[in-house]
Amino acid sequence: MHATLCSDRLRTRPEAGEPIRRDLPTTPAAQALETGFSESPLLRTPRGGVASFQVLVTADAPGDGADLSVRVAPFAGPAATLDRVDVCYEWPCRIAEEEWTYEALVPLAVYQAAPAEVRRGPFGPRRHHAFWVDVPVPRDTPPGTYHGTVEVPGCEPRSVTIEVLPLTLPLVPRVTVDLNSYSEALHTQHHPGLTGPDQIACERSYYREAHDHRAVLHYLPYDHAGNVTAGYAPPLTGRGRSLRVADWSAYDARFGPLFDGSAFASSPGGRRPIPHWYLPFNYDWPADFAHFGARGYDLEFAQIMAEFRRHFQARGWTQTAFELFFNHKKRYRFFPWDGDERKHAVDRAHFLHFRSLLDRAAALAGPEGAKTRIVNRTDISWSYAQDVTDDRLGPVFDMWVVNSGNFAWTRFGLEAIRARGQIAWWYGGIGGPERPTMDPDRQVILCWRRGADGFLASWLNMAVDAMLDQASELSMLYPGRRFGWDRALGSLRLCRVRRGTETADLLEMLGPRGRALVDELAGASDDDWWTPTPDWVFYPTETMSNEMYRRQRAANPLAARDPHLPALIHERALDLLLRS
Amino acid sequence: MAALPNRTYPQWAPPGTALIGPLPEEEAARRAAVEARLLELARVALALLDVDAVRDCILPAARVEISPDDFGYDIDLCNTVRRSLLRLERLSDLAPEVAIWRLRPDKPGLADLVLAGTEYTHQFSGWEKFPIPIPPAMQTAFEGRPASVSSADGRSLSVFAPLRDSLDDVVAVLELYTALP
Repeated sequence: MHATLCSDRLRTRPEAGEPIRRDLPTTPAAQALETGFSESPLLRTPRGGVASFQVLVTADAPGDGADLSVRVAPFAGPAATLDRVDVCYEWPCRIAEEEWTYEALVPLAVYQAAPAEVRRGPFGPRRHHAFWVDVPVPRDTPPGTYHGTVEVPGCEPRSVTIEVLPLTLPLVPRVTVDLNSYSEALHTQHHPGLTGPDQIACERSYYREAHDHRAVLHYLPYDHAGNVTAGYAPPLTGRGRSLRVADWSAYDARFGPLFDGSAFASSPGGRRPIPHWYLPFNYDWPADFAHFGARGYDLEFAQIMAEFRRHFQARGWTQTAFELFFNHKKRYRFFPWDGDERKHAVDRAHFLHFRSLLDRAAALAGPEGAKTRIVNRTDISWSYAQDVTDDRLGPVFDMWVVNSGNFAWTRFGLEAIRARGQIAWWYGGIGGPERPTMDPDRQVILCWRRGADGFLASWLNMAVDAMLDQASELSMLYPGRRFGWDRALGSLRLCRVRRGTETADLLEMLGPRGRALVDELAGASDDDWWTPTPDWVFYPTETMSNEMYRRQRAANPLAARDPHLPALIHERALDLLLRS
Repeated sequence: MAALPNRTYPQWAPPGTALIGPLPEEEAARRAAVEARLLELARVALALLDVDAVRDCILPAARVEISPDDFGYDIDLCNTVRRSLLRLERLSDLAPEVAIWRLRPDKPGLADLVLAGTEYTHQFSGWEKFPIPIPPAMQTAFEGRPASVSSADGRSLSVFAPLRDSLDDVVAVLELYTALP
């Protein structure tokens, strides 16, 4: 049996215990990073960051690895010790007919306690095992050199050094990586049968896992018909003028810790409120759609929104962006508009009406609700170039979530959003585990370089159980149920998201030098990050087809480069910051 | 003054059928009572629904899709129909799911969902489960007569009723679906 250390930049193959070829560095500078780590494992980590590496173990005989007790001694430094060390077993998943890698991360103790038939998994007995090690570096850690040891019985102990840098990451990442999901799925698909406190604890673990990795779990709390997931809205009483929230207590108990940040106490992601949250408001809640078009509908909507404003402010929940978003699409046969991804010109008008209701709610709430951040969000592609520059529609929204292609070929769109002080995200981009391991980093850096505020990793990020064995781009968080643990599991890609946001923060700290650094290493000029605007974006949207999108490519100077380019950017950013 | 005979709505359920209230214990009797209640609700629907709006609420352009986002309604007509569907659902303690179906001449043998209430009607429809092959009971309704059908496991029931517009043409079918208590 033998054990080796591996950086957090490579995926390995459970069949052979060797790195996946597509991950291997191709340039001397990047190769030197890997060689350096192999010879002398050193991790440079700013305060508030997480040092990560992998332990690869080849056993003498095939098995499930449960008997491999990988121990990592706390990292001792000059004036403190990094006590927290999280070791996870990397779970094999298939990425092609004959190709496997690792993706979900199962806490080692949970893995070892799971039934043997579960640990065996579809891959079966294996000699090669991989363990992911995270060492969070709290924000108050004294800078200096911290030494730790990795021990695997039967193998030579290996030393690892963490150099805690005199740099501190911001508490709130510059780039928001959003893990969009749908709230009812957790309780119907991922962990069915849970009730009461067990259900809440399970749900909370998903928020926590995302937050630990500096990402945001973002649950849309209603379906296309407008039915709100149980518990995701407070109960109402009365109707018309007398419509009120009947009782906030269950809602507050369930979500208040997310809004005040207490749910994230001691998280490596920092104790802070969840940054974004979908409100339950939609076409059929809280206002009764049976009265749509009448004054009672408008009053019900505005009145309850005002109540939310006042209540949230009274509770001190003023940092989270509470989003009003209409996800409804008419092709699902419930409502006559596309609230999401509108295409037809006639759909645009109703957004003006709902904006007026938001403004009315703000007026009703008065100063007691003025500090609550209600954000009118729109998700858009077809009409983006037209709406973002429209004098009436442009100011209606506070947050634009744009198809990644449209975002790239509408540079003036971002400029318009910035000029109005609105939020700019795009959606899509992080592929599955079959893509190079540092693709998530690449997406975060691309987002930062273009000046966007964040992006959706995918439209769905919560895997069902089967995806543990066959992951896809739609899985970032995994259910731990099969291992006897009704909690969320993280993943390698989620760890890469975290590292990517750290890199973006370092670049942000560098300011213009950060942009120059990325441009230099990507071999790009400022214009190369954008695609020329096609003429058709100004055509009537009714004439647009998916085919137009397929013909249009989005610029990405980070693509088709050394797979380790994000790591090079990270390391060079550290160098520049330490020198200044 | 009584309505002119040619302007009344057809009586499909036994006279005296209530929309709410206790149901018989015995299984067959209970099923018959549920069917009657849904038929009576369908009669109420004839008064509540603007069937000309039903006929016209889907835009012809919705049949010429160059992207999935090209499904389209006349907004005002659609909302007129939708408001009525939501109110209809609330009239009975069976909490029925309601839907309106139309024929697709361009797709013979298929029925397409015009609009659903607060849920899809789960016996034949569901998430993106439309158009659907026309069930026999629905076909009967398209031919002008109400009909009902239980699910294969006998645990739910759909009643289909013809919807006639101002020309007295059957232009759509109303489905009322409920789990059998």
